[in-house]
Amino acid sequence: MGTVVSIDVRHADPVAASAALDAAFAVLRAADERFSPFRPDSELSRLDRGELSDDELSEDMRTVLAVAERARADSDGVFDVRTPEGRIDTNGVVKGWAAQRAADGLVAAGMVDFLLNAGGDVVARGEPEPGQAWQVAVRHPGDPMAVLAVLEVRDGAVATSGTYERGAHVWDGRTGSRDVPLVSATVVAPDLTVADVLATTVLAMGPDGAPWAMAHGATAVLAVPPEDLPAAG
Amino acid sequence: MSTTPWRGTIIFVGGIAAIAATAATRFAGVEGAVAPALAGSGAAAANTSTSGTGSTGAGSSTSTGTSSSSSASSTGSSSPAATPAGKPAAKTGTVTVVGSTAQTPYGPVQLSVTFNGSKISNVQALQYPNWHGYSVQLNQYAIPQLNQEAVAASSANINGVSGATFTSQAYAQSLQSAIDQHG
Repeated sequence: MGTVVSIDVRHADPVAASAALDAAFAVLRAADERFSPFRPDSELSRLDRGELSDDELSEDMRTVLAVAERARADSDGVFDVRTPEGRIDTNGVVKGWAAQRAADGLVAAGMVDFLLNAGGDVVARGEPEPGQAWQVAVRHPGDPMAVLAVLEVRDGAVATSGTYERGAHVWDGRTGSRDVPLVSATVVAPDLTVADVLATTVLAMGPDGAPWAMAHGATAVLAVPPEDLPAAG
Repeated sequence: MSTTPWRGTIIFVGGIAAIAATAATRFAGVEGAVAPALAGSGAAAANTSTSGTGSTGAGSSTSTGTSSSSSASSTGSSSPAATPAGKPAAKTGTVTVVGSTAQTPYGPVQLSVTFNGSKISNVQALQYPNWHGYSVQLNQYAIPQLNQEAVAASSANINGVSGATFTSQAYAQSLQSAIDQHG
């Protein structure tokens, strides 16, 4: 698995920008190591196997599990890190949370204008050019090179959850069903941790998830139901 | 090169201020159509860096883009194994863009847009601030932004793409990859 992270920093000092980028990628790599379900020795894998007691958990793991628990409560159980198979899957939280952390690090390092894209989840800060907002496209669910919409974002985050890249990786925590009612859900929010969790939840919740997300921190929601998805051929 | 018109249902909730264009899209399935437009939009001070993260390490490369000209080192996904999604068959249908109340600098706005294909049949401001000129402005803003030309025009300046998490391999076939290489 694995994904790709792109960071576009507009900064006058290349040395400072380089150091900030290195630090941002280090944050992402550390999160990947800790939360990877593909590494048998990751903290997540050990937790999943029942090898860790609560007081052995890292601060980061506690934070991620707390975000997940709040999302579960807010969504009446639709969002759940417990898979229908009884495993623990923190993917619905970790990527957004880690990318937001990396972005916070960039801000702390003095980067004012940047766009961080972690595998399709985006944090935008400042502007690419004076007076111009970052143009964040939303991918067409049926075509990786096509655009469904373009969002103008200055300080904010955009997360998309969909079934078209990784299949049925999202489930409804209430029913255990992986047959989610939407093809994709995109959420704009001030913070990527929030946006990512909301996007995953909306995907599982269906059209009703759009107004629900607006009541839980979303700035905008774009949801695509499956009936009109052009046939992939 | 092909176009991919969106003629399905999209549920949109949010402030129109946040959205530059929506629905009824175009866009070419090939980089050639996208790349030249993107090439011209790079800012001189752009530092672009792309790095793969992942447990398998597939296609991951570490890079730092720091020079004054933009430097992008994209992940090297070695094989173009991922095939682009098939050209979707255009389906006709009503596109419904439903808005709920959103906060804008002008106050709360609620917007409902209905259109067929790429043609807008109805734009209604269901709720707008107590500023009588605003409903007109809202309509003038919404209609041109929602048509195909607006989408095509703004595509040249796309800085990033939000989508469901792609694998390192799929990244090679993504619009984000094209942006990173030409940004």
